[in-house]
Amino acid sequence: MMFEGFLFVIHLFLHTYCQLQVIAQSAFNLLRWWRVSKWNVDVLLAHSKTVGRIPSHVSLVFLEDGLPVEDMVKPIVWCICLGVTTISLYDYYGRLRHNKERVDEELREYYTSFTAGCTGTKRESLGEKGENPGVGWSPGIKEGGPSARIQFVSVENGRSDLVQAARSLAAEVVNGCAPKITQATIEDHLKVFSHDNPELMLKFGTLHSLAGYPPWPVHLTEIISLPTCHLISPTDLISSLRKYNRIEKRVGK
Amino acid sequence: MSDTWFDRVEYSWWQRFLINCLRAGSLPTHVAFIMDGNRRYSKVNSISRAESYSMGFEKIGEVLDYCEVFQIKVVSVYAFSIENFKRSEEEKEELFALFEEKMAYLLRNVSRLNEKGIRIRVMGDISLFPPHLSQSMAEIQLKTAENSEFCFNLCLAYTSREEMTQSVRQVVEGVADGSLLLPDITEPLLDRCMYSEDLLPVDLLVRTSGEVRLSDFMMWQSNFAVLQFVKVLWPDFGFWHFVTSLLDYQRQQPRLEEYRKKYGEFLVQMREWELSGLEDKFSEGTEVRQEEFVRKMKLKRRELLEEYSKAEAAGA
Repeated sequence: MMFEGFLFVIHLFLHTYCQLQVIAQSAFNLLRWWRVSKWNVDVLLAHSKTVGRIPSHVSLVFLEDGLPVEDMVKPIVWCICLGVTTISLYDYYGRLRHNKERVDEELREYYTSFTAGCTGTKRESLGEKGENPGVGWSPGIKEGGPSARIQFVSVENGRSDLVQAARSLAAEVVNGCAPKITQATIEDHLKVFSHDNPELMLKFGTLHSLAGYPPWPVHLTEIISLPTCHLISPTDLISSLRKYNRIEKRVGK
Repeated sequence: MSDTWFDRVEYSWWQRFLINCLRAGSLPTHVAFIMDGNRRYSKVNSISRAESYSMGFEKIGEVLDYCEVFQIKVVSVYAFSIENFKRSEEEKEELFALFEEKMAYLLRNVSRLNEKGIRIRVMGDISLFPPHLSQSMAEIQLKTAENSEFCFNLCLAYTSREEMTQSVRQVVEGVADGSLLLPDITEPLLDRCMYSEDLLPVDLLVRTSGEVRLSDFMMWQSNFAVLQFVKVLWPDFGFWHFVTSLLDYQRQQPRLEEYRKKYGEFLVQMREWELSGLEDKFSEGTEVRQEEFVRKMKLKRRELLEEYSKAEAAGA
């Protein structure tokens, strides 16, 4: 009983500390809002010159309850403007996936306001291939669209996707083929993340877990956590990208 | 060779107090460690790499003791990845020499392991190691196979993708030889075909050195695990780091447990819906076929271990 009491106090302290972190981050975001609200794509790209390499595939994982869609679309638009070519959006319950139209609407609105008055010549992609995702990109975001591919992922695409790949390969056997089962052939049969693995995962919320995120693609993904997406600013994305570039990617060596 | 793997850690009064406090709450059953930072430790402390790796192995013994006092039943450690074979010959030789020393140590102390009910498993493709190492790895697994109090998994020549690939290969071969039908391939079956077989999933995954990636380690089993990226090098990982990881686990566990439970319900519903749409000839007997398939797979794995354990003797 005594130890339970002390444990309760320790957890109360920890919980308060975590909540204060979130509140402090939100308050800090609010305080600097007046400064970063003036940011547009030109300012973002100017700041991003010091970041280093922009990953081509970023996964945004939203593990906060009750987060408004208006907050979620901001990092998506910033990533697109920076030249990220694939963006995976994950939340456990698939809220984003089941509200694609609303997400598209909010993205369009925010993209329009964020790129308003942009000079265009400054919209140089800093992506690896030197493509220019911003100019000519229509605000109507479609999956598989010309400049940024956005894929909606939920827990249903997780381990189940590997099961479906296994069944698909087994079906080939039933049909008389003899596929060689390698990592490459499995990737060929995955519905989501086929040969396209996120290099960077930005995880929003105080839950330190992948919470059902598909296991296959994250083998080398750098996972950077931010306490909240609420009132997030472009400087948070810029600092996360700087952190990503400081990481030494050794891959076993 | 010091005996720290069986030495009991001496805890101070405040450590015993914390242990009792934490034991009043929920604790993980399966903890996994990515033991990163040994080479950086050698640079920072100006010691040889071999000495640093040796200290890293001794640290495993200390951490196993922490796990024992917190009544954790399964511990998995990432000791050597398939990618690590890309390292220099000199470094690989140092590591293989250390593995050989440690395997010999465990084999000399099999009776103590059996007394404590500790099962040692090696998860990975041990055929990639030199034969004398594969032989000792197979032997220690066979000699402790019947133990069930505590399971210690050493991931050697392992990557999670290779593990998932071999699991898929197993079930596809099962369909090819007629032991399974297509609808028999389910997530629980794939799970049982992993190297971890019937082990409980990972509840807490700790990576030291401050790196923030999983590096292809137990991704399937850690789907709902609490992740802890600790900014300390593995040989410096201590009691306090472990306690803070456990406290964070206790804080996060209720929400993850809810997610896990909902996911389990989703799987059951999916399976019921799937079976309702199948003809009887496909849906009947699924569980029997799956059980028989898993039984044969485990038997084959055991026979392979027996072959490896005799290979060195046969070659001598």
